[in-house]
Amino acid sequence: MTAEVERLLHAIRTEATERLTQLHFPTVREEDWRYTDLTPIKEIPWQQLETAEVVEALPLPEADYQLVLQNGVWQRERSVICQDGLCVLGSVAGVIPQCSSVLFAHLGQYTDDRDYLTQLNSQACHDLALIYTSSKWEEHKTIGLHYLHTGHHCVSHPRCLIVLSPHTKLTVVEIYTGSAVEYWANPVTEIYVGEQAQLQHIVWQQQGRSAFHTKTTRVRQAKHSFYQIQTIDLGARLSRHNLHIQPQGEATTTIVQGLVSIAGEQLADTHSTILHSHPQGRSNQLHKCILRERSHGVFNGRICVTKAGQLTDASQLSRNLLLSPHARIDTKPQLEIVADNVKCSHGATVSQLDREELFYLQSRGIDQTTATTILTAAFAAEIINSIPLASLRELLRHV
Amino acid sequence: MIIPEAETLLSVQNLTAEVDGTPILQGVNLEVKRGEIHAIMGPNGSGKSTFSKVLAGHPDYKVTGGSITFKGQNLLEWEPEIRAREGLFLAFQYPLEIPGVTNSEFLRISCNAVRKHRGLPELDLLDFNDFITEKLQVVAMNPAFLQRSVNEGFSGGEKKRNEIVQMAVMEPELAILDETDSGLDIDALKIVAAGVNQLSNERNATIVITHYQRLLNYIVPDFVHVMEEGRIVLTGGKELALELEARGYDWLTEEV
Ligand SMILES: Nc1ncnc2c1ncn2[C@@H]1O[C@H](COP(=O)(O)OP(=O)(O)OP(=O)(O)O)[C@@H](O)[C@H]1O
Ligand SMILES: [Mg+2]
Repeated sequence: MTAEVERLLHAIRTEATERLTQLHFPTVREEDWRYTDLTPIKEIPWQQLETAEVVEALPLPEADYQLVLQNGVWQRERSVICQDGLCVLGSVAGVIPQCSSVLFAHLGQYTDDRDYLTQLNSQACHDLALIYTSSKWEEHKTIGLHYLHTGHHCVSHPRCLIVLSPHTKLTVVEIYTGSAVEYWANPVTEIYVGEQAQLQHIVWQQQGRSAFHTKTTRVRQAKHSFYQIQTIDLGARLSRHNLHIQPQGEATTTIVQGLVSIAGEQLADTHSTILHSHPQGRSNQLHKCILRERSHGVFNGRICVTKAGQLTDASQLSRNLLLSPHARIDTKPQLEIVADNVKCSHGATVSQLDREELFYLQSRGIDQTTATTILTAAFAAEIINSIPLASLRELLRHV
Repeated sequence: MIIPEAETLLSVQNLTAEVDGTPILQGVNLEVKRGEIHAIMGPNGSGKSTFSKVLAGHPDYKVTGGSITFKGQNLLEWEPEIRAREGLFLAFQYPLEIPGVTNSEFLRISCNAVRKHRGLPELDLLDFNDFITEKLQVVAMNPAFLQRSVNEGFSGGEKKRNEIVQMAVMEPELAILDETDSGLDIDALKIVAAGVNQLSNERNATIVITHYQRLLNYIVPDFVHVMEEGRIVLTGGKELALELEARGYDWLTEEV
């Protein structure tokens, strides 16, 4: 690692350590954490360990390049990297000068200084994955980031920086999977989408059923850029996604789609913020939860339009399907609009399977279990069908 | 057609049923034999659709008395899907839209559920393609409809045709068509009626519920029943439909 990159990471860690002395672990007394109790995480004596055990990655045949990280540690021999006009690096040790200037310009610039979980991640930031398109990169590639987890009471704080130069295109898929033991993943992904650049971002969370997963995604969009994120939450005992998207120029397009499908005692919490502080931003958000048994979905979608955000067009919809009388959803749209010339809409629905639809299917010879599966898949279809990768769409046919 | 010595398919005796505690059916009696075509007419709200839904097993309708025997067995013991697989089909007065489920997938799952129950081999995608192409022709339905979500955005008439496609796929022994004619234009009415006629034979039977005598010019009934206030109050031949068309229902209450 070059001395200057080493110094940069050191500074990030030191600052985080400093900030953490002023912060505390989130508690349910705070509005943002009302429904999601992190006490179990707080009480476990976590350790950072590399394990020899090999966890299988989910196949992603569409990926041109892949990075595999196990317990946050890059697995060089399992990865396919690239160091051309497109950089796909599992480590910033030995980066070329062009990349180190990217690190200096963006790393740690978009995170929240007061967020405890982010600072925990920063405090552990000895290395990171870097994905960068240089301005002369003209192709559209797909990159898979496989985050694998195992080891009882192991914690990892993986960090990833994604930077798209103006006019470039990229698809990035983050996949979080792991073993059945009790582990904790606390990843932070920072993203900068340059002018007129286009990023398709998919976050597939299928952690083990005993896992804790707290993720932070921070996105900045330059003017006329396009950013689409699709989050699929299937796993973990407790998952929380803090998603923050902030255009920093006019006429940006942002599409946010979330699909949660959980059961048992699982909890999946999504807190998102889209901050429109430039004119003519368009954002469209759709969040769907399928909740079975005693599972619990939480959605808090903040959309802020400042005075400078004239002609913003923002829509948000939260739709929830409760498949059990014991399942629970807490959904809250939060619109904070100061600008006067904007178009904003929001809505939330909570429903059970439609009895008439069920009967219609049964009257066609389809048993109730199959009918339930068909109607649940139909509820999710809107999101599944818009996922650009066929292999992931296919996997979702069966959840 | 009335066939001498034909086996009884459906026998309804003194059937009473309620919804949300309100009695709707107040003692229905009906006997349908293989080969026959029955028409049920009657004023709005008299219980025709309720009767058809009770037959199909809708969970909201509670049978409070009487019996329904289908092919010699107690129909009321069967879940709706078993009734369907055993050969009872209901074409809905108001077919549902199911966004996100393609028509072809729906038809194939339904077809295979029925075939499995009847001990027939299930059809794979290719075989099903051939099978469904033939079935679509029964009502001259455009194959493009297969790729759309079930009934979503279909016009009223297209939904009714789609019901008959489902009927063709399921090959029922007893089909109940609840106002399948309403919403159809004149040409579509002829096509759908011809389709229904093509599907009927001496082994199966059809009950058509309708308000209009016109349909019965194309699907000629052996019996016409009049339902009023949850009962079949009058039964006659096909001429009864003409009389009802001319005189309405009021005279019945006076005479009966
Ligand atoms: N779910 C329900 N709750 C309350 N009342 C109902 C329900 N379903 C049907 N009814 C009532 O039962 C009666 C019979 O309705 P039904 O739909 O069977 O009539 P119908 O003969 O098919 O009429 P139409 O010719 O208008 O189709 C009506 O008065 C109707 O309002
Ligand atoms: Mg009716």
